[in-house]
Amino acid sequence: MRWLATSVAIAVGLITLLDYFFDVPILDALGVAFRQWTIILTAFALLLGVINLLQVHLRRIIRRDEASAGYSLIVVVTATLVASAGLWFGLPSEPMTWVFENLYVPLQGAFFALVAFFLATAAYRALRARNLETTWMLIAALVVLLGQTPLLGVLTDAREWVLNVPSTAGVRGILIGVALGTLATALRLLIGMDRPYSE
Amino acid sequence: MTDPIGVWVGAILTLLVFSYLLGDTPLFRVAQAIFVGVAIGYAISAAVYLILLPLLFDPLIINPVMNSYLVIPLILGLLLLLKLRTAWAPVGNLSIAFLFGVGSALALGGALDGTLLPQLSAIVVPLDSLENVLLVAGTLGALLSFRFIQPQSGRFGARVVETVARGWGAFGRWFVMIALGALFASVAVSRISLLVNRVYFLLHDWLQIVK
Repeated sequence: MRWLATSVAIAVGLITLLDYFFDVPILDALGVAFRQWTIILTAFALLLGVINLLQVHLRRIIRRDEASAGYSLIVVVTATLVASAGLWFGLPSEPMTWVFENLYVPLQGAFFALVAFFLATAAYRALRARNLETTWMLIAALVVLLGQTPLLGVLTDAREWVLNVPSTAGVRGILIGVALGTLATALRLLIGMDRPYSE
Repeated sequence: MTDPIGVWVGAILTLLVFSYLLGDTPLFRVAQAIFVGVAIGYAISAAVYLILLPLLFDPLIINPVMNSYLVIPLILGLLLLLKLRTAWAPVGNLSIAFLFGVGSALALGGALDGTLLPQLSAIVVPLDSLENVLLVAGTLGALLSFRFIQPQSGRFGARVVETVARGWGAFGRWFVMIALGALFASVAVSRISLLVNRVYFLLHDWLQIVK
């Protein structure tokens, strides 16, 4: 079974890669089909994750011995109600738009807004000028932060310069490093050196 | 948002989340549970109505002969669901292998075409200004700062290269720290904007004490 999985990964990977670089009709057709199947499989993977999550919460409810059983009940009930509404009315539909605008958006907005308070405490710990490197970080953070306020308009140009020159250079270095790492990891998968699907 | 029930629901949920400022309260946990539940419910609906129906089941039902090739992703998807049982989980590895194969090829192409080549071409600039010199030296230095190679000993040339690379990498780390500081500040600004938005929603839409 392991050899079959490895063969499938290498074969579909190489065909998709060849389709990326060469304009051959048969490769184009296979590439399009593989990408569409990947989207379909991703939806199945999402369902797999959701079912697994619900199983975990249902187990907690059935056991009743854990302090979080009540919260698990809320998760299961809310998920069932929203999924039922979604499957019944379809997507997009008026009830699901209501759910999105009045449940999802306020909750997501409030959770992300809460991060502002944690960032303040994190800033106190991370942005202390302990050495030259952290001093640069502190200066950059202060210039970018204060450069956005209308009270300190003189920092607007400095903010633009920090974002366009040293920050861009740093981010570009990180991005090139990430891309090289992605290339290496993808190549290892494509030649079968790494086989995470066989574990 | 003019729906009064929606405004009340949104305001109560916002207050439940903000109760975390007083500590890890049961109210906050209720909000967390509702958020997870809503996200799961919405994800199921999105997966079914935006992917599975239009891309798989509708074509198979409407024209099964023409779209018979869609049986392959259907079988792979069902094999994936077998991962729910530990004993049958290895059968689902075939579907995971398919995802990894296509995913790694797309990641390779995307990293090469979408990131590496554009970013490398962006540092090919004339060194006629301080900004351009800093951009090129900073980018290469930031890249060198992520270099974890055992120091070379022995040959003089290798030691010189090592010393230069280490010095340039240390210089490049300053640029990485500046980038992280700028990113931190940008994230802080976006989160503060969200906080202002939520507080405005409470005061304007819900309590109506702010115009």
